[in-house]
Amino acid sequence: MPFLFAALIAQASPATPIPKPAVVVHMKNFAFAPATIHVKAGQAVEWVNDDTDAHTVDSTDKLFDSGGLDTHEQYTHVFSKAGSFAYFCALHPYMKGTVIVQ
Amino acid sequence: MKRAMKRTDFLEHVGWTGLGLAYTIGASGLVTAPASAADTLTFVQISDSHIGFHQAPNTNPESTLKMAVDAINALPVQPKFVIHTGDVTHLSKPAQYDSAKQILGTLRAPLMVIPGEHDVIGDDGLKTYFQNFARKDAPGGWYSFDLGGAHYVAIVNVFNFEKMGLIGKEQLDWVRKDLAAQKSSTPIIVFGHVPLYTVYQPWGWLTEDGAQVISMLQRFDNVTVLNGHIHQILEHTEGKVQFRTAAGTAYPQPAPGMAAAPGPVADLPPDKLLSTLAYRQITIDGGKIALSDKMLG
Repeated sequence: MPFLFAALIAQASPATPIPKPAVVVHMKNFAFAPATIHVKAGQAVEWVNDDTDAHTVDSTDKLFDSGGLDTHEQYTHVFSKAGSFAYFCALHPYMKGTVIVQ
Repeated sequence: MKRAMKRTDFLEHVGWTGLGLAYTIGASGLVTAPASAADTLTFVQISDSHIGFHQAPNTNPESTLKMAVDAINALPVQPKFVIHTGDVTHLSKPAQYDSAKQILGTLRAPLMVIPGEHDVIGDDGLKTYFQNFARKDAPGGWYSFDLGGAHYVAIVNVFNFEKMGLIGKEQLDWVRKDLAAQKSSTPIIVFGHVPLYTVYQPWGWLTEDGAQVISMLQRFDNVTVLNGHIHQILEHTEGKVQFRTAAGTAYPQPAPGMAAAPGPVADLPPDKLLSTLAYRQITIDGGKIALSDKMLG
């Protein structure tokens, strides 16, 4: 197991620390709130699942993917480039949101 | 699948078909009755076990799946197979698959599975699903087979990245070919996770291209579509096609549109939980299909 352990340590201590999220988006009652947010390039967005069902945060263009988020789990992504980034929940695809990066 | 008919089956059979019985000459040269009319077969459907879920109203879905499995194992006549119509796990995690398989592995009858969206979250989830439940005859995940004079089609409608449910063109073409080879008089049983018809559009309880399959099914005399996903028993008919959604083994969801959002009914009184969970026994007797939902409490 030493190799696996080393890999876990490496994952837990990324070279560039994730900045404190500029905006928190909640997944509540099967919706992203707020559904549209504005951040600046280099800022991080955090998503938190407040529902008792699972959700995901999946970029429509496959640029980011949270995997399955259980109740109270969170996911953070840093947006380094300007643009409009659409995303949805892969378990409930009618849950949609947009991150606008300036 | 043909099997030897016991004498008692034969007498019962003659009793209810009268002179309408058709005989065929088998490869052996012996005169045999058609298997479709001779067999009585039962199988069981279970669904939506969400192993790994740990919130109200069921903090231990492993125990309720085990209750269903134990009840099925106690049936005096064992089903020919048990099909799980998806959402075996809650988050597609290997440990959740392991727990589920440990419980499902105690079934006395053979197990078949089709995936729900919770079983195939992301590329990892999809990989883990196939690692656990791949079939040699189902490289794409979907499959069909014959048993007891009926034809069974197991459809996957949770593999699309952005849409759910969706069957997709490749699988639709396969279903079309598969059904084309069947006689209109053959009973058809279709399995899916997400309902093929539109149960409730605002909650995504539908299969976007399900109407294409429903239209292919209309030429058959006797079609039953069995699915899960919505964690409640609903009956619906379109033309000759009967739809029956199943209760889960983990937790109920609200009736369509009767809450702000879908999801687990968290405020369910604890003593009511088992009365919302079930396994379903299906009996095929000749051309007749009978369903019986057995609540866990």
